[in-house]
Amino acid sequence: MFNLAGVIPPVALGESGNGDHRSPYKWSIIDFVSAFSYTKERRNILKGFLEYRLSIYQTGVVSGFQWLNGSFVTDIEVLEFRAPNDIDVVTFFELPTGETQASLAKCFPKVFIPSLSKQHYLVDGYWLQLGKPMTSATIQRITYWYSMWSHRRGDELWKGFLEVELSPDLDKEALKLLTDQEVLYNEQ
Amino acid sequence: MNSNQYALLSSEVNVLTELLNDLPEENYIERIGLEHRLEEAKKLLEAVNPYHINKKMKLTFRGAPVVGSKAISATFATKATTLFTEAIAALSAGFSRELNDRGPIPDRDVHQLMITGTAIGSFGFELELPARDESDLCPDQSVVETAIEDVRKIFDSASNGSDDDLNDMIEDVQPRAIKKIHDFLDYLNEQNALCGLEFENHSFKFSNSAQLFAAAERLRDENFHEKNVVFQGKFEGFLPISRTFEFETEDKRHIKGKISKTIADPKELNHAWLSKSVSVTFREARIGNSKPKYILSAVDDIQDGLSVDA
Repeated sequence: MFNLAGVIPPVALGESGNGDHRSPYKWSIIDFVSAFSYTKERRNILKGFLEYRLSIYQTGVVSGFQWLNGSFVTDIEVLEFRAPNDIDVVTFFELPTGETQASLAKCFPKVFIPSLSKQHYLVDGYWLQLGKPMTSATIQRITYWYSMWSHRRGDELWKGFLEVELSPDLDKEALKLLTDQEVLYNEQ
Repeated sequence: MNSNQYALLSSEVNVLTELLNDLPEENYIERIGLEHRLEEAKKLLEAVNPYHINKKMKLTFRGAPVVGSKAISATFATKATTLFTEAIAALSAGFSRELNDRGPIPDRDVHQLMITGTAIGSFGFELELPARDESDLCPDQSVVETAIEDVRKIFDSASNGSDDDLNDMIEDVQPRAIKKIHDFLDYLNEQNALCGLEFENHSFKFSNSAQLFAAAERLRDENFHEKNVVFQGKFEGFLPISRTFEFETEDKRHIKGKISKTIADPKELNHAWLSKSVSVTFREARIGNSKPKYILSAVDDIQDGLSVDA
């Protein structure tokens, strides 16, 4: 999963120039939870992340995808001898009918205000709305998030990251998987 | 924090500010997120003392051991980088003490450069300078910064300047440090390689092997001529900060020169010798056909002289 630098590579090894196996890599939430739940701290963050996604669904936002980043998706235990603190997420979302961004934020501050989502879910969360006309300002924002997510702070190493769809049904299976993992690790 | 990180963080603040300016009013949730990012980036920037930012330089190579910007001989790169960093260490140490002809370079570890990345362009390395003294809120330019600037100027002077220009440039540089610079250029010449150096928005690169060869030759030991010369006359002044002196000879010539670092307190020379008739031995240094430079090497080189007043 990680290369020698301890990050997800930006392009999969052996991939051709026109290949699609490159960052952002599309993973299901089940594969993501399965791959990244190998320590207690990570399982704790994943629990928060799944609760965050459940809270998103409860706002009426059920369609979109998330770009995942931060030390959580690097080999931070090897690189810096520490556990990750949280997970960084940009959610690209479809606005539910009849809502505005302002109405959502006011009703669900824990989900939409970064300092609160970090506190409650261990998620450093940001947002970009889909389904609106594409303007140069939109492209600038997408470019910003891509540039920040695809480079490591400190040495600006080009790296890959993961994309996970919003998927209420699959999240239930992911949560079960995580719970089973917790039981398994507790028994060992 | 190093200079690259500081520049990128400053850039992020600018980008986020622009994104927020262009963000439609109704994008309320996105605005909260971007404002949060901006606040975090500003906090990080404000916590940095710009005087404590670790600086970086680039050292690049071209020629036989290098394949464009793709590859460099490991043997060559190791030796060339070692010779360069030794030259910087020698220059840095030489600012505060006399260097012996042989033996370890003092404070080598303190003045060590660290490779932090590759410098694309030709092929080379990004080298980070030692961290600055964080107990000092506004530290002066470090000796390593001065050493790197001096090496760049010496490369330039040895390539393009007259003998007088070069002599001016190296008058404060210790012989062992000059030898180290020569050894670096000599190795590049031997390997049919060229180099370039960039630091603090100033750069120099050798254009061709003839230029590099000529520069190396001018820095060769044999191009430096030193001898002791004796003058009768009187000192008109010793300046302790710049460590210079002015001397009037018996035949009314005025000589300006340097006070060696081996003389601990130049101020004392004013008390002991100002305007007195003396016989003094100066070290006279030339490079190639340059005008001579004069150095007062030791207090004992000044002796009571016969009166010069007619």
